[in-house]
Amino acid sequence: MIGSLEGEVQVSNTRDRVASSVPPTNWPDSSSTGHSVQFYEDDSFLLDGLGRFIGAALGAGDAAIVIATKAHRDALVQRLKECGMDPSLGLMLGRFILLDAAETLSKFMVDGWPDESRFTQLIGDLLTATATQGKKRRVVAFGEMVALLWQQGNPEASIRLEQLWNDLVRMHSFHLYCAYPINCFSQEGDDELVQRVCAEHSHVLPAESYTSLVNEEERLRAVAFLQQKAQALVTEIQDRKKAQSDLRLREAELVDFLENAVIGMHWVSADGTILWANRAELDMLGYSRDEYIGHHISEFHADKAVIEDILQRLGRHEELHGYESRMLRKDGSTRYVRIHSNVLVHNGRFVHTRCFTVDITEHKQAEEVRARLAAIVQCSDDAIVSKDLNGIVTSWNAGAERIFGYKSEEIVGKSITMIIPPELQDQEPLILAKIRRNERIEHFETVRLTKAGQRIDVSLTVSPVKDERGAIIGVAKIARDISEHKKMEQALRTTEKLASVGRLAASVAHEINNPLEAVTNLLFLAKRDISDRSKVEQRLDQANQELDRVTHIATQTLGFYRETSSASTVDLAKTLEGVLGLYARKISSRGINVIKEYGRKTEAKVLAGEIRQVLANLIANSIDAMPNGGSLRLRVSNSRSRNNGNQPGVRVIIADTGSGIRPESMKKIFEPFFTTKKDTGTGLGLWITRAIIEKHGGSIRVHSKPGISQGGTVFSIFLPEAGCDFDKTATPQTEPAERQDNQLWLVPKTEK
Amino acid sequence: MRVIVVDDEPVIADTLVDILTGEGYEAFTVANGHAAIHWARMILPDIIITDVIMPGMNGIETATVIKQFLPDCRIILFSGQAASIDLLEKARADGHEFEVLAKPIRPSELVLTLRPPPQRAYA
Repeated sequence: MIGSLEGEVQVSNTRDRVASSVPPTNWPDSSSTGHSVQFYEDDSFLLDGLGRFIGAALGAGDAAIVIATKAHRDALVQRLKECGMDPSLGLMLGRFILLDAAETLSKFMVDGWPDESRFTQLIGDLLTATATQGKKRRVVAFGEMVALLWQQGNPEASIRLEQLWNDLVRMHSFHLYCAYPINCFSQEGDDELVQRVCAEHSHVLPAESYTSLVNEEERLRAVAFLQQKAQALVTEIQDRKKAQSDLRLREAELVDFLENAVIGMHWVSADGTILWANRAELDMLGYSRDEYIGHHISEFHADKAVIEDILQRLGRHEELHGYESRMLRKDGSTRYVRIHSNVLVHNGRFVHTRCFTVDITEHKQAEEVRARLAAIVQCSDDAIVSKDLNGIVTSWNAGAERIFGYKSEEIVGKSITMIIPPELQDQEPLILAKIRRNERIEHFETVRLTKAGQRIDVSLTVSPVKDERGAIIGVAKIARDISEHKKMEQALRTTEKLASVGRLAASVAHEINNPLEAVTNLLFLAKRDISDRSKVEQRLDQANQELDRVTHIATQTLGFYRETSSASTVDLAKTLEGVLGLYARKISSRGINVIKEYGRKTEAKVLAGEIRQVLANLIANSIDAMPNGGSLRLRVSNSRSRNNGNQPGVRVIIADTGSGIRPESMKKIFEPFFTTKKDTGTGLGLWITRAIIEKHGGSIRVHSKPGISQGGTVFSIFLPEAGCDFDKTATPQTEPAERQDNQLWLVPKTEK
Repeated sequence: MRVIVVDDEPVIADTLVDILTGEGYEAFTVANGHAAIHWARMILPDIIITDVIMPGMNGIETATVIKQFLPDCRIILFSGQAASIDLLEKARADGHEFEVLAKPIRPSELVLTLRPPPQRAYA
């Protein structure tokens, strides 16, 4: 009967080695008193043992109580039938009792804990009733309620129930057989619980892989095998623990990385709900986690059409790169963002987006400022050009294209010297040197060349371009076309010239008409009184004198322009000596002390007559300024021009200790017909003097201090040694004005 | 007919007096505006011929003053230069109209100019 059960023992794999057709010998003797626990791996193993245990008890005429799951009860009945037993008789007689484990359990469990009195009463009464059914018999019991509690996750209740069973076993002297599936204890740390369960039992029956072994030798081998397996498991558990810990660490690092990344990140579900966002994203928009996560992403976008497009594209599983959008901050402001996003797809299902949001607001604003500046530069009338420190053009605006005729692409990358006339090429290194010294050049008037080869007057402002650290990295240049301005200036100067000619004509008219009136009258009277010879002679003498006046004025004004003598090399010291001789009587009569300082090499190529006129004029002025005597210092020396490339020449200085020139007169002394000598002056002397000096390519300057005792005037004339081309319109030179506290240097206006 | 010639050029002033005397005028000469006004009050001339550009008071100022106390006196401005045109413009703007003669003028023409009685509109 029992032997027929053995074929059904299901053992698998590793257990095959130790499996045997011999029935296990360690089942508790159903006739003894005790509390056995069976661990099992496979239901059929449990049912085999249970079948034998119950079958033996019933076969011996004992009573049996089985509290089990329905499946186990049905299987048990089936086993018993297969063994040729008819359990129905026992059931009928009350010698075999089958109870449902869960149902029975519910009768004494109170708040998840076995109630002792209810249990004792229920089961105790059952035991008593069964044991005394008909006649007194021994009882065996099988219970699965503990396993059920254990499987329900209530091991403490299970152990408590075992203890209550133990009390009943002691009281009623029966053998209780209970069973746990071994997988109830598959967790790490269950070893302690297993020990506690075992402690509550008098017999412990290991699961079938051990129990089914036949002899001691095989069991020892199995123990060794299990020990090895246990060791392997311990090692594996350690490895797994390590791996898990590593994994947790890695996960924590990843979470930290995402959470604290400086770029905003979020996940959005297929319907647009924000599932997750990191700190950078929340900080960027100023929302708390709850105000953002769980909301629809479009709430935070300024342009609804844009976010709809983004969601549609992502819905088609497209990948977005650098999609620009504007997001709304909690404070109402907007941020420009660039979105990079794609979708996590799992088994074809849209899980969530992976969005990276980069705040480009500052960049955008800077771009706008740049664009605005670029527009200003581009539409400026002035040429705005940048070049590097080697003079290579790096940018060229529309103004520059208009003024110089070169298109940007024609000149960028080439040297700025393209627009500098050949004779002015020296300027560029000087300009670059100034820039390297961190100096600006403002309103520097010069000439530049257009693409067509035309020379244009420009005003340049050049300044250094610096990087963030203040290092000079390039040059910015603004050029203004002042050709028109120059032309207007030229026209103005011509007008002025005409006006001064007009003024000259007016003055000449005055100076000439008066003597002519006098002559006319005198001739009328001479004719009228023709018989009176002496009267006639007197009238004619007077007429002669008046005509001399006219001649003198004509010579002084018009004669200068008619000078035709050619230039010759003249020693200016000797010329000065000659002029001085003309005034010798006047000088000595006034008690003027003359100090002469004549240097060597004082020759210059000049128009001798005109220079004599200049020197005579200046000496006469000095003498006039010293009616009561003084000093006249004359210096002639070889010198160099102060403003025309160190051109060699001769400098004549005529200095007196006279009354000086009043500051208000200073402005006018070179004007025609300005005179402080009412009776004797024509007001043309210094005007002509300046014209002559300019004609010679020289320069004149004056320094004067008015005053009786400490006054004086210094005239300084520079004449170039080589003279100049007198046929051409001379380029007059002005020396730079110097101003000191109580000194006034006046530089005559020059014409170019 | 009494004439005062005002001119800072003595040759012009003297020769004019000589010429006008020869033509039968009772002519006097002064060198500046102040003297002209002083003598005009004294001798009540019929005609005043005055230079315009003179040191001190100019001819127009002189004429304007004399006109006030000698409204019937014929005043002729005798000018040798364009600058006096500006002064005349200014006088005209102030409501003073004067006869002008330009230097140089032939004495015979001057005499002819002086001969006809002044054409003045009496209101």
